[in-house]
Amino acid sequence: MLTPRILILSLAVGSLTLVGCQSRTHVERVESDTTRGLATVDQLDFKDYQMTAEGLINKLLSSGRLDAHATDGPAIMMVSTIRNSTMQHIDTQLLTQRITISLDKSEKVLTTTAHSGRGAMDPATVESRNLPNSDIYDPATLQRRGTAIAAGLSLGGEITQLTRQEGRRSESYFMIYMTVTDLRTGLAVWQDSEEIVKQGTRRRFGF
Amino acid sequence: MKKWILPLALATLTLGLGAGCQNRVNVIEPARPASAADIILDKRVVLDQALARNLEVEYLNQAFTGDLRTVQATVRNTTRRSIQFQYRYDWIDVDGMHLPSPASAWVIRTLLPGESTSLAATAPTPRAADFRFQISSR
Repeated sequence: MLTPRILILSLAVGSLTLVGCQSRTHVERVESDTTRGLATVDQLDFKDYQMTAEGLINKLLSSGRLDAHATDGPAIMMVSTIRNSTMQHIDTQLLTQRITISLDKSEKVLTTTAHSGRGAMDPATVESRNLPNSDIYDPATLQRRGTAIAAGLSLGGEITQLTRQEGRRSESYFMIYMTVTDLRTGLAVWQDSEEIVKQGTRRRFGF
Repeated sequence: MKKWILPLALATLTLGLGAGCQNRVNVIEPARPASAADIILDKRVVLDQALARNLEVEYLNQAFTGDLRTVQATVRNTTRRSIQFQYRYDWIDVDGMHLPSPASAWVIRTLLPGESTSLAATAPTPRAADFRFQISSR
């Protein structure tokens, strides 16, 4: 028969053990290119960004629409705004940066970092022309005004989401629409989209 | 003991019929195709025999847009069930070096029974001389 003292001691040891077990987290490193990542229904997951970028890059490069703008060397492009028309927080740079990196590798397009839809991606272009105490620098090494190259093309787009629920099943439809605009004419020289549909079933019991 | 046999047989039959009742795709193509695909002679390393049998890579072909090469694999689900698989293209330069690109990512696709599709990718740079197409089941 357990005495109250032994019972209390057992409970205390048991509680401490449980707390100890909870604080341990199993962490596993996985390849960034894995297809076994965590997936959610109502959010865009990293694999969605990878597959969307893959599709859009292939469509843009195989369209040949950039060739006319890259006859005298790479065209200059700015990243404009990717409008987020979903209820989720979406970091659109996860998408645009993959696209601009690919376009850079294609040798068709150079991206200006001096201006974008969200301001300068790299403010150094402007700041290097407004240096404090500029008289301490060798004038030959100072950046002159009127040398930065303005963009002729812009990359923009929109992400929209449609959600549906039927009983325990839920569904999200995302459409990622991208466009490349000729800034001289305002005409879209290329536009295309990628679609993602995700379904999930909520468990009947449990959390 | 014998009481188990009938329910078990019924359950197996139901499962079997359920699996066999997936939508199948009928494919109709021109008898005399007007397109002349530039077929690429390929060399295959098959480690997953079941996948190679169930998901037939019919042929690889290519086309050029300016100085960028686009390659395309035509695959067909030869089974009576849907197949989910993943594929990726890797690109290699003239020196045999791998050309990393954000566009080289595993892409997940699902094909209905009998369905055929084209899996295309465009070279990330004009310096891409060769490619490697990898496909695996999920």
